[in-house]
Amino acid sequence: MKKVSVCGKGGSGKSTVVALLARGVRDRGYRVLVVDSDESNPGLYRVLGFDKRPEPLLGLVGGKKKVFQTFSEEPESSKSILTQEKIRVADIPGDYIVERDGIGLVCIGKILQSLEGCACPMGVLNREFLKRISLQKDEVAVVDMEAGIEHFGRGVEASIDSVLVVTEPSFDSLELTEKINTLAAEVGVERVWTILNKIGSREIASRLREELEERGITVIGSIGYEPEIFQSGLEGRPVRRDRMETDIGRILDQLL
Amino acid sequence: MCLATVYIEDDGQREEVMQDVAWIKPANGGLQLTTLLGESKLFQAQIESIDLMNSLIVLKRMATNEDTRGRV
Repeated sequence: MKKVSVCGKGGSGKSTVVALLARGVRDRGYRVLVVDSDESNPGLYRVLGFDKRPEPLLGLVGGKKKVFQTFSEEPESSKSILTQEKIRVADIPGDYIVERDGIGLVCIGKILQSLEGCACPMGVLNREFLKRISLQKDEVAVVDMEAGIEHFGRGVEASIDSVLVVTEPSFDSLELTEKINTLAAEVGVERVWTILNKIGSREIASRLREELEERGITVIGSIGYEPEIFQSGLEGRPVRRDRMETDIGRILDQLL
Repeated sequence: MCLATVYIEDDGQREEVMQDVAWIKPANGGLQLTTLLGESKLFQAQIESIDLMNSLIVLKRMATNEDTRGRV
């Protein structure tokens, strides 16, 4: 597992899973780069325990408002790290990454105002950044992907080693999980796994597993319906992992 | 996707020349194309068609003095 993308329906718990995985992977001796690829949700930095968010990488290409003033003007982006074939974590300028205790966070870009247009540039930047980021043996990238499946249409997963789908107990989530499995296989991702989330009982877990296995989907773990997750989500703070340690440990055993 | 894949037509052949093109400006009698990440190329060409539904732009190569000399 070098580059793992966490996908799923909106509200299924992707950011929570990303935070739990990032801390779990770090605790097993890796340095972790979390890539915030969701152009909407603003709070991942808080869930990871940072007190400020990094500048969006979109700023390195001038942002969406960039306009050339003259024909001869050289684009600012031609001088940025994003033109490098390979980008090391150490190459990322300080304003564009926040780091603490073995976990770094970068952000592709956010929609900031109404009528600013679509998120296409963020999708392309996400795809190219994930392709070019060059990880050392002890580094792992965990991507908090935007909700839904549009990113597959953009080819973002082309350089991803593993796709983890977060599935909650709902019909839409099951349907989307199956769709993501199909799309990821089409892109050529070899490891596509599912994590069940918000699981309130063993019966629900069994039923979901049966439904997914009938669809040929591999489930590698399950996270319970924990009040602490909802409490921390409401407060915008890191989740206390005590009760989830065993669940996350089992998932990491499969991933690493 | 809004960023364009650009093709160029020459002698009836269509060839992909750039992906993720974000900016196009007239320059030096041709067109300067620049990708989102800043790669920039100049083509002695004019726009043949723009397909915004499929994010495709087709250019048609213009015969330059050099091209003309080469063919004579």
